[in-house]
Amino acid sequence: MRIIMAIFILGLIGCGEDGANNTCAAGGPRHGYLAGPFGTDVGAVIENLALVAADGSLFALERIHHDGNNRLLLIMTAAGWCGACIEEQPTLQGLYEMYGANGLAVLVALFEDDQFNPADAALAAAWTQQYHVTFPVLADPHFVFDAYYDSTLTPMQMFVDVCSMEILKIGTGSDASAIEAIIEARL
Amino acid sequence: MIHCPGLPNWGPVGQGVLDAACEWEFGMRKCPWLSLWLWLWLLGTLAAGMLVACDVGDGDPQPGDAANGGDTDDGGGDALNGCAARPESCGVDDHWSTRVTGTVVDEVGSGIDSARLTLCLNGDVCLPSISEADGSFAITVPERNACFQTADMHARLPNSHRTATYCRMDLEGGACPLFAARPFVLFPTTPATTLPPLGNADAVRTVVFADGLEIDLVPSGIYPSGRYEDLAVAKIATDAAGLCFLEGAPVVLALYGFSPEGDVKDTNFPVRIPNGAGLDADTEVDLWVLGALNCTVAGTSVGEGVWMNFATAAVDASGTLIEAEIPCLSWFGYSLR
Repeated sequence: MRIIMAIFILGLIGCGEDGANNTCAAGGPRHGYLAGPFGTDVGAVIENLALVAADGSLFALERIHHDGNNRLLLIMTAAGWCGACIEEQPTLQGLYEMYGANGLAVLVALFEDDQFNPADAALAAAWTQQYHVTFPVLADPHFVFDAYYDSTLTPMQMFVDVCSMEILKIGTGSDASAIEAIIEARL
Repeated sequence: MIHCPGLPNWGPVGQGVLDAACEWEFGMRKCPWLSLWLWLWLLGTLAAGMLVACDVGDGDPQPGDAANGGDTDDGGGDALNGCAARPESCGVDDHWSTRVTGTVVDEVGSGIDSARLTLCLNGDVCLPSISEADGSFAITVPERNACFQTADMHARLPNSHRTATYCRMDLEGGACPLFAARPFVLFPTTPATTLPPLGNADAVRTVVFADGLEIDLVPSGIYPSGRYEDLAVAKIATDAAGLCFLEGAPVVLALYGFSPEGDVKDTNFPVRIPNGAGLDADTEVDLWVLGALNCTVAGTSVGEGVWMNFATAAVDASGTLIEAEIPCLSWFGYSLR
């Protein structure tokens, strides 16, 4: 029975990684957003989450989806108290500059400031300026990404296929080489 | 003697186990396979549990026992003080710990409640925690992150007039739980004696602190913003306890810590440091700064907890001041060059 269960679990893991092999050719704008059901795990379609942009407006994931040039979305959660997140910003900017033309979209979702207060638009604006990044930095004051990973660990990286809005991979930590390898494989 | 079709010959001992298993089957003299394997599984589980208990019960007190507190928030690892067994995949040069404990105290050694801790492992993943009323804290590290080579701790009390501190944890000979032998000390800071009203946040103004330390700063040049009106500083005796970041560094003659901590954007802030050490005029000194969450020198981030020599300066001709520039509002000091 255990062997059968192990095979079943391995099969599930395998499905989670391989079942999302869905790339998106560059093209014109897309409209609307994917219909549910939505989920929080690898293989599920991510909900059209709306976060707060640096100018105070709402920024929903559909904005990334609608841009036909985007093929792969890298979402990174971050907090002002997280040194690893701060150290990662130049790397993210470098990846964005290197692969943006090939369809990589990058988005940083800040959930707390360095005093552990919920993030706001002002923090997103200051973060953008302080770390000289050109991709969207958004505030996630209600920490909606908490549902997607073990949030005792920060930062999180999530890869999403922009065409299907399917979650391809969720990880924690900031292993730049691993992140780049995934981007290389997907674009 | 029990006979079960298809069962291999296990010899006298195996037959004894089989007999016992079948005897315990409510006295029924039969060998239902499911029940037999159920008993074997239970026996195996019990044996494994006894091995785990023996491993812990060696009688040696574990450092950090007070901080461990016997809580069970890690989902059942309490029998090992929250520690999971080290996997073979963890390299011999790596440290293995699924639990990190320590205490946060004030300048007289009293525990600080609700201090915030951030543990960053290998510089690429961080785990937050909060201290208890007695200052103790315990951080549970998921097993997939528990094999590491560096562990850096950042302790602070948000929205307070206390310095933050950064310490790289000593992993030499460490075990699980990894215990910070020396408490993290958060020193009290004193608000500026002269703090001009915010007014135009882009305008330069001179802020003066209790011992005569002066900074010419621009409020809008501080990151994160909104820190100007809370600025406070502590002048700490350089032999005070808890200054882990000074270990191995040249002896500093004066040491200041700011609260709240922050970076100086784009340019440095001119500072005039009283020559409290009584150095002769024109004596050259090395200037040091502590890398913090937000501290950049010449556009490059200074690593958290790194005590960095970032410039040199000299005592002025009158012998009263050392004029310099500071790159961030964390800790800074000077030593003889």
